[in-house]
Amino acid sequence: MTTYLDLHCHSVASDDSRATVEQYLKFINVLRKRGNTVDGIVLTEHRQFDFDVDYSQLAAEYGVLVLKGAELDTCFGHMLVYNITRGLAKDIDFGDVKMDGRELIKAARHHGGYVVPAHPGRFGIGLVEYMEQGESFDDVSMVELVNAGSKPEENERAQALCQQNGYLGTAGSDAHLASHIARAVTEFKAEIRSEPELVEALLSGEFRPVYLEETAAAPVG
Amino acid sequence: MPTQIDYEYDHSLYGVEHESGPFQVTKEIIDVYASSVGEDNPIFTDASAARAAGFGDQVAPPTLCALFERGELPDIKLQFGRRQFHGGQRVEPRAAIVAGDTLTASSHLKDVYTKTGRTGTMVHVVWETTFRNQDGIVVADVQRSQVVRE
Amino acid sequence: MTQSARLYFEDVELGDEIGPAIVTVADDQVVDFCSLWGNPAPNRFTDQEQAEKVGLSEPIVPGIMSMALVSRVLTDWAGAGTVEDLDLVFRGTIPHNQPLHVGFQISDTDQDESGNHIQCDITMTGPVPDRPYIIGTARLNLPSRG
Repeated sequence: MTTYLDLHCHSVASDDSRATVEQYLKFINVLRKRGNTVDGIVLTEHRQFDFDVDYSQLAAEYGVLVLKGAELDTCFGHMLVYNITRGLAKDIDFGDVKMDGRELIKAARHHGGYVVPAHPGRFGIGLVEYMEQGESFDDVSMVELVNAGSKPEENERAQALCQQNGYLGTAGSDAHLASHIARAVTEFKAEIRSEPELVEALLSGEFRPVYLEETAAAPVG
Repeated sequence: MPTQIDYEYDHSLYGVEHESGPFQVTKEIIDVYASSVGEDNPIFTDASAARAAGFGDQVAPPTLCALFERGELPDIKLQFGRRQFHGGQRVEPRAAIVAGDTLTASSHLKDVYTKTGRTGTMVHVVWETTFRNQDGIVVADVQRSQVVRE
Repeated sequence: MTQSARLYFEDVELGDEIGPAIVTVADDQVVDFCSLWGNPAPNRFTDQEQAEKVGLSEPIVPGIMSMALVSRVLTDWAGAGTVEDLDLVFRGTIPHNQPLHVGFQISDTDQDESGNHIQCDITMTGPVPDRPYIIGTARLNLPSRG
């Protein structure tokens, strides 16, 4: 069972997004009618996580898996956090835009979550910038290799980063508009139905980043 | 939202409505506004066409009222950064604004928050403004986000 | 609001792409626009030296002027009086005298007692499509043929 997930998108809960979750789900069904395969999304709102919001009814209505994560600002750039628990939220101030990224990575693992540095090739804010300044990140083994919101040369820097360090790479749209959803997705070999299963699939290493167009030939379902 | 970025501003502005105006919406303002953006819809350029379409007079393009908001917002005395730019703008037209209208504005500070991006740390200052015409009718709600870079 | 629509609700479907319309902003247009809001030339929007003083490489199109341009393209397409909400995020500085591509994509449609609504995603880019100067959305209320 292959699962195609957009691991990075923002709803109106984020200050700079203009898409509701329902609009994303409607648009995914437009993409499906066009022959693309998109199984689900992970909402990664900026600097926050809402334990109470429940998208299961919407997800069932539109037949799209909706998982929740976050994109947090750190002193080493933005980081995508998956399988967020109350324990992690207690240990980490999600609103602190200068939090220590290394501490976040450790804390997430401690609490059963996982951190993937977002758009590492992005100028001024990506992990590459900090590595060029001499920083090292022993706990990083995968990064967001394809970010559909980044410039092509920024994704090329992410590609070089992965090649030089042997990092695995995920993909996400970084959508802030409904029509930008799933422009890049991560293809997993496993079936994923929950945040813990997402972390398990990431840790398995059995995934690859793909652009939406590459999902067109995939079997539906 | 808590943050370890050091920035101070005048928190007393929260919850306070700042009134400004009156702003006269003249035919001349509409004409210059329309011509400077290449607007040629007769509703916005010709009073008789606007009246024929059911409007009271030459109609202001939907975002014209945002002109009046600029420069009228209080200084929040932000102790951060050096360079400002316009981060975002939202206009929700509620009723037609036509030549001859006199508008007043009521603004309040909605939010001040930080984030990081390609250009470093930024503080966003968000204002909401409601415009009313001479009859007290709400004609537009406007939101403006000003960004200050470190 | 009274409408002068050129477009009907039934004319569009979720996912439809419209445009892009290509607009160019000449120097004198910016000078005229700035004169309207008490910021007469020379300023960072009209003058090279003033622009450089604030860290810009060249004079730029003001945010509210670019919004007016997007609004114009919207009403050119859908008609006057149709815009219920226009919400833009300015992501990059917009140069004068360069083709600006303004495109829409229908991202939602719904009908209720208040009307026939469509939502469009908006992008304004320069020659490189992947680098938007502006992203945003507009909500329009259109007449129905029904």
